[in-house]
Amino acid sequence: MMGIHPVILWTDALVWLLVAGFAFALARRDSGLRKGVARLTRAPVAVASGMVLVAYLGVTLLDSLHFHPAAGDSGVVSVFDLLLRPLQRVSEKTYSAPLADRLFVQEQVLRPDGHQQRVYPLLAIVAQQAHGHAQPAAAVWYGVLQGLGLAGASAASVLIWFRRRRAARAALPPLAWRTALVMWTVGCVLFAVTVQLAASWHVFGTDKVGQDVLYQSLKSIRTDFLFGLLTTLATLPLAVGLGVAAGYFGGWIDDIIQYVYTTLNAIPGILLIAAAVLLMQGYIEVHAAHFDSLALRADFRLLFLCAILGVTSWTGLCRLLRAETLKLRELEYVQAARSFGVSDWRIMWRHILPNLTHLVLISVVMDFSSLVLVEAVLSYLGLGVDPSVPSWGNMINAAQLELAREPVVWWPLTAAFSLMFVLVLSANLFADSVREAFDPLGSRS
Amino acid sequence: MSETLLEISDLCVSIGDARVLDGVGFGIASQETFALIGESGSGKSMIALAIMRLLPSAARFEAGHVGWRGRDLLDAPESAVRALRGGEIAMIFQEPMTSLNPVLTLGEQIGESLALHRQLRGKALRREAVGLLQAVGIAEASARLAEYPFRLSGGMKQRAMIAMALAGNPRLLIADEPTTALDVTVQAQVLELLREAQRRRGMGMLLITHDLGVAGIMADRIGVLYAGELVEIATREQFFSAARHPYSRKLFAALPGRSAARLMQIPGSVPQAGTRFSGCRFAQRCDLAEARCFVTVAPWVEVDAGHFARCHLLEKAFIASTETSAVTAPVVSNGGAPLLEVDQLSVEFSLSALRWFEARRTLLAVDRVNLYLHAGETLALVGESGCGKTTLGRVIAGLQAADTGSLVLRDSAEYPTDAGQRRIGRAGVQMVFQDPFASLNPRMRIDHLLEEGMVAMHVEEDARRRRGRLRELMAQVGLPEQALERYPHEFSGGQRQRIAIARALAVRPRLIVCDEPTSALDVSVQAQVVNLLRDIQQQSAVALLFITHNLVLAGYLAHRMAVMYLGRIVETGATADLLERPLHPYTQVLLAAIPRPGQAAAGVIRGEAASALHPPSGCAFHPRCPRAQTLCTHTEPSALSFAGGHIVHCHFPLTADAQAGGSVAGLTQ
Repeated sequence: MMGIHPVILWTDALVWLLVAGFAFALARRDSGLRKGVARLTRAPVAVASGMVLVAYLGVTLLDSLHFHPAAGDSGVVSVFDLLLRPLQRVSEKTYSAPLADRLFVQEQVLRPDGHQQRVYPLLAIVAQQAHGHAQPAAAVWYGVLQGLGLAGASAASVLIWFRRRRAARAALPPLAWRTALVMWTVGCVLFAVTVQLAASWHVFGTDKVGQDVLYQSLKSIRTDFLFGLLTTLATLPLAVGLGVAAGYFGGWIDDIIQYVYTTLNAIPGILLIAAAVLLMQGYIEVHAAHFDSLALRADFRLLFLCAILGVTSWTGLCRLLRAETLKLRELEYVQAARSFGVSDWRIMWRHILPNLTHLVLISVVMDFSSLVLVEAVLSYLGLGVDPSVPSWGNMINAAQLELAREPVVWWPLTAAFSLMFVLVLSANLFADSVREAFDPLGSRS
Repeated sequence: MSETLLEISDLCVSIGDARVLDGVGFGIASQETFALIGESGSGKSMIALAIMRLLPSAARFEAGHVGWRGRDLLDAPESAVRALRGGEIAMIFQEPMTSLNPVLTLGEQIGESLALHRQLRGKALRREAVGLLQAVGIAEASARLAEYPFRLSGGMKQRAMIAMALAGNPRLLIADEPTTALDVTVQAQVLELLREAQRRRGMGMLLITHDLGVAGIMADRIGVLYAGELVEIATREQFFSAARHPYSRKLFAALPGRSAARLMQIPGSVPQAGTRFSGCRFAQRCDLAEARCFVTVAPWVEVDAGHFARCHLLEKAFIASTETSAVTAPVVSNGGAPLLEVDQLSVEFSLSALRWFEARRTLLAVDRVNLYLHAGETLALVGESGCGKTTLGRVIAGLQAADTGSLVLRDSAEYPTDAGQRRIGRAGVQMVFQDPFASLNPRMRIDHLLEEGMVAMHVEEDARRRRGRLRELMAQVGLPEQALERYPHEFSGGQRQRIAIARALAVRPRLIVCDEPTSALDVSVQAQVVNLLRDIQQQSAVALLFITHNLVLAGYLAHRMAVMYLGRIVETGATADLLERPLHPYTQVLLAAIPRPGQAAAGVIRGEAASALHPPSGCAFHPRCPRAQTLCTHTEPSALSFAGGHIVHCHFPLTADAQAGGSVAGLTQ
């Protein structure tokens, strides 16, 4: 590998910009966001679910640093891929169950005596172990010990670091320490156990073409996380802009905006998305020159899906914001600003929008989890992300046939489902906490 | 006297680790009215809920007992207490709009209680419900039974609420601020009704109120509650002639009277529920407080027969008279052109049509109003809710366009009525709003709030001088400079209202429109705001348009008054003239309806203001007017001018001559 040739995909740029923007908003001293976050870190549920989300976000960010592995190579690899290389190293012929020694299907082998026999062949990952084969239980124990050690060591070093720097400690928001510590330990143990097991087994088994399911599920995180994130963001400008404008100006502006969103709501969403996806595929065919690599195509498709979903699903939030603006518009501080002759745009920016942020924030976090589920549904229908891109939806789509087999191949579905479940559950729990932390009524007490 | 119904002794209730009620004890006999007076957060409603055993789940009984006709309610099983609620003990709430279920008819809601507590069914139930509605003065009672609450006006709803409370034949009626949400004329009707019902049924009544006037005409005995503690109990006569506790005395002094003296203000604000105290709870705000007041709780002393108070300094407090520094009446420049002239101004609201193809309905909120206002003068605009006084104020403040008529602010161009241009004239007129919690943006710091207008109107372009001006403003409204860096939620209602006043002053207006600036505040805090407005006027000769429903306050603060009824100004004149020699029957009715201690409520008039959607023909007041004649029903009265700029719109004004039976004299038009 000679040097690094970075590739910035559209979605990479967007997600990094987003994180940078959020960090910037957090760094501003007197922002309401900072206060809300401080309130969040005091709630155990928020800390636990937030840590899970941060882990997913971390994977997404690592998976969003792409580069060409070599100068002339058109393939695109991410930093996360480098970390996952051990998982990709060995691939099997076809299905194998989690932590199995042998393949899931029988194979004809020619015995030395010339007889044909149907056996379950040994897995490649097992065969390559030079010196015998340990039991999974032993690896699990070893992993647990390692994880505990890792957690203890990291906690101790953080503690020592804070002892040294009082200033740093003071700047830190109050934290539900016990929850954080428990979550961190559990995370460390899970990580260490997985690493231990993955050295000698396929933790989640392999799929039809013998690829490691764990690798696929982990790679899916980026796709679905980005899908949820970017789509919510795509809805925001429309929902906020149109909602506030409709509520504030009223009259014919309100009429038009209401007309647009009732009309949009009357069209079946799936139909609209199907049409848009076909349109986009046509566009890629025609302008094939612009999409010279597979990764670029897949990325464009993902981005386009987010955009089209954003355009079709802004109506709920828009309606909510319109109603809230109608209320705020009549409040006396808005009247006072008007009697000072402050311009309409300025009133919307300084008086209305800041008082809507809690609503926007809450609905963004809540929409996020439902959009992750939407990705699964769309990919299942074949309208989702590119089939070459690993995503939980694509895995579930494949599971359609796997579940029909006898004996049933359950692990790809289980893997996809559990990772998605953890993400959606923690997003929902986090949304609840966000609502409590940012709702002005709740914070007053 | 008669049977003792309720006997509360040493009642202590906590929420969390804060005592919200501490050692409360009093009794109520049948036929007796006991009034609990207190400001917001003093725990008045908590007592009512404790009696009904309906305390919120966070609250805990710590000690004491509530005796009901010899039984202890706190130990009684839930089923026994439930049988009492709505039966022997009934309750009326403050807000008639929310205490009736909007999806049930009146008949269903009254019937519920009748069926439950009196086991009535079918025809008997219906007959009794009709009887109850008639008893509370609702006309066409049998037809009303099938109606939903939204068809009734506020006063009617409160009457229906009383009918529901009376349905169980209660022995004790708990009325929690029963008239606070009502207009003064309707308040007089409802109070009259309550007294009547009490007399007929021999009920005991616990009246919870913040209004000394209401307590003064209703109560036999009065208890004053401060921060969860009873500080004084006395009979009405004792209380109004010789209140002993410093807090009670200050409450009287803080009420605006007819003298021009500066109002006594109680420093600070009502402590929030949950504050922890040692010693006397009022010590923080008491100007007589000594060292021991902060340390030990004063004993409960009987100072006179049946007159108890809790204070270390009873003798001292009684001697210290309510000395008030007289202030000179502000100079009014009556000569010269007025600052503001309003001529034949009308505002129409168009409502959506009820059916398709029907003409849009219009509501005439302000109807051909004439007004003028000099610099340094205060004009009070009084009237009941819905009379259009707020709309008129908003038009003058430039928040709303007028449909016809003109508005001229001296030395500025013709008031621009066009929305785009309206902005220009605005620095001259500013507005202070009613609700101090809604009038400051919770997400903006105080300095940003104050600066906003200055920047928008280019009042002080230089940032450093603007900062200096902000400090001046803070000093002017009596807030520390550090307040500039804080957010609105860190201030109490009274302080917020000062900030709102500072915001209006920031752009150096010539006229400030104050829309009920004190009606959301407690009496003790109201005095601070009223005094501040007077001080500001004396310093800067700003004109004030003071919109209020409180005639007493208007009389105290204003040089001239204008009375509004259904969009029209029916009478204007100098304050003294108007209060002492009211010419319009409506003004008389309003004045008579003010509850004044020691006076039997006189002049209760029937009916409520008509809807502005269907104003009566002729004189809008004629359906309620005791002097109305046929002329009034079809011809609108024109303006009659009397001495001293006293103008009245009435065919039969109550001049001295008219009262003597002579003809209307002195009219110019």
